[in-house]
Amino acid sequence: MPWLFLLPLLALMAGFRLIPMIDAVRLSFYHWDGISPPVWVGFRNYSALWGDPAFRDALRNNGLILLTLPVWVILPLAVAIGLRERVRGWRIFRIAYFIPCAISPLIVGELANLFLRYDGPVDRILRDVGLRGLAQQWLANPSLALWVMMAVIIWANFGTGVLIYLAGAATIDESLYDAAKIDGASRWRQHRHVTLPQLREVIQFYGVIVLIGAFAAMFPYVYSLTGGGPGTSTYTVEFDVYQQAFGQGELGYGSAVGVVLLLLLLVLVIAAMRIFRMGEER
Amino acid sequence: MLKALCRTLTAARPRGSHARTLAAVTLAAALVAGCGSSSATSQSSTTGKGLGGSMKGQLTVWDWDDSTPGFAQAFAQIDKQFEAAHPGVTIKRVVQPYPNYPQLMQATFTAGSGPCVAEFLVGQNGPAVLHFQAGLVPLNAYVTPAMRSQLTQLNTVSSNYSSSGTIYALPFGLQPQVLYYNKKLFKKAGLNPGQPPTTYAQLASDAKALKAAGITPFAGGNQDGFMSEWWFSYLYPGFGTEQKSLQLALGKLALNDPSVTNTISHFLSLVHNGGFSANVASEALTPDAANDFAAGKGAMFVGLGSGGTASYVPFDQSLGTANVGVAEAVGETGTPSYLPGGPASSWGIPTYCQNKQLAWDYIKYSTSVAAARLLWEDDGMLPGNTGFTLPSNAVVQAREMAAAFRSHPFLYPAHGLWSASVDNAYRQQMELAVDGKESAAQVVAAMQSAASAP
Repeated sequence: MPWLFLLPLLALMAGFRLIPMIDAVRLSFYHWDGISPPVWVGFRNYSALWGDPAFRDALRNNGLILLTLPVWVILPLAVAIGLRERVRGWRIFRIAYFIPCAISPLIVGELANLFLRYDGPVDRILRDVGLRGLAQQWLANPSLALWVMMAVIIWANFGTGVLIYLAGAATIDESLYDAAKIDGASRWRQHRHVTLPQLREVIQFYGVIVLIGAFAAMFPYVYSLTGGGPGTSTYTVEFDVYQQAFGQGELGYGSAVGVVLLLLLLVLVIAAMRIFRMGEER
Repeated sequence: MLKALCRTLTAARPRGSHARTLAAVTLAAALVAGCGSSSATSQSSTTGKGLGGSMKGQLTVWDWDDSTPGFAQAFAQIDKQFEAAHPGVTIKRVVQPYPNYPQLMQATFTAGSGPCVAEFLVGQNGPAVLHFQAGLVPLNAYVTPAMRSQLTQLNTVSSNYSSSGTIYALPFGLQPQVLYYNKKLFKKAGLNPGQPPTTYAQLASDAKALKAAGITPFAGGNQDGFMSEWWFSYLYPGFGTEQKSLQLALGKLALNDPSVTNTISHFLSLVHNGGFSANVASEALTPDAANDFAAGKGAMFVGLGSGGTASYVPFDQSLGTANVGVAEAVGETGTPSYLPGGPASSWGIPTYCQNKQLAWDYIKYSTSVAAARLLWEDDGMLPGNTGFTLPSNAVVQAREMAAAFRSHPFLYPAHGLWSASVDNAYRQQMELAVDGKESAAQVVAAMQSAASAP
């Protein structure tokens, strides 16, 4: 009987997730332009991947994005703890941090583009405060563009993390803090020994969400901020899937990139879960 | 009487609402009567065997937003007149965003469902006919000898760019790749506004003179790499030939051919010698760079001959017709081997379309002399149908371009003919090269790698 309740969702999942996923795996072994009949090419799409500089750049960029994950996880945690302390004006801060999350990523991208353009507001502010030498083409500089893009993405999303952490913190039993205070624990020790252990599962949950997002939710930002450029300096693997499949009309090759992305994510998420579990067992 | 009416239709006509109304009425009448350029419409209804489908109902047409109200205005009239001539038919026009158009079209072909008539660029790059040729109806059996002689560059919508190849669409309009220059700024820099550059050396020396006078020589923005495409096509006739451009597009010319490397390195030389403003790498070509030229922030701009934000239409409006000069491609030392330009766009019929006959009638009508006239009158689009000649009172830049393209050989811009993967590599690497991070040789190497990818 319980299966009956699950059926609609299972049908949707099968129709819109599972079957397309299996079909993408099948297509990754074909050369297909989306119009003519697909031609079987075996593993040729996969072997071509390693010689493809755009794919290599995309992988490298995703690796670099992965390195920023601690910032994604820790920054909102620190802000949430600050807000929990009811700092002056905390309600305004809470709203201000969350507003960017309520804006479409495409709009965030377009706005950031306007602000960061050469001689745009950011450059003008830098000039006005005497930092003329720092003014530059933020998104057109291949060695800077990825980091600038990441800064925009973190700014746009960290409010979600703050909200999740605040929700988690709201469930912490106040008596734990009272007990810590009676034991003479400082603010820092209260957070270290009460807040952080109590939020462990929330942090793990948010960490996994961010990990998946870093590989599978960057597209609208890349698309609107840089289009993957300059060159391929801001390509990500998921952007490459789109470019190959719909930009170049190589649906088979694009599927192969997609399969690699899926496998990569699976490995990373399983590894992250294992690490979390090991931490719990300890 | 009918002949007289047909002559009226094909005669040159001044711009103006009265003229448009008259054209509309006579065109509708001509369509019903089946005369002149529109006679093909009714003719195909009776002789176009094999296409099939209902001649009633809704015909969905996709085009893209080219940011000019004139284009939409002209096609609103064309649709209206087609409906009047085909009782029981309604045209459902869907304007799609240009940046996503290839992806949207790709999805319709994969799904086997979508518009019955769709706009395509000619060539094989971007939302182009030959990129989607496997999903388009071959039209050779229906294209009449008159259409073959009147429509510009049918080979650019035909397989292998061959005039005897399979035709997959009907082209319309004429889109030259030209250099606009600001006569006032030329004068200010001590240059003769009546003598625009005709050779690369003069282009470079004019740029130098302008720079010395404190004027930014070229307005440009290469944020998406599109400026590099336009410049390549503008300069290529000076370093290559028509034949080489076609060979390049067909993969029969090595990408490291001197014609390609010279074109790229000469363009980069203009960039690195301060020809463009400091924000060239971060600004978009359209509308930003075009707007810069229109605002007098750059003395020259490689733009388009017909319609859109990068043509003489907005430039004349902001700078004044007398201040906007137009120059054709430059030669390396003498005259260029050909002029870069070809059809503005084309109409094709996807194979999944159920009403192919009706779709054929529509695309034939949309590329007729009468439609060319409406596109000229409403949008300033230069005619791609040789049956229509610009009126003598047409704006000077349009007349000059039309005359140049009548008297010189021309071919669709090189970047539009080569493959999407080569173009993608070119644009990506040129984003870096314009920023001084890569050389012409590295750009060519990346293009070669893209061309040889399995």
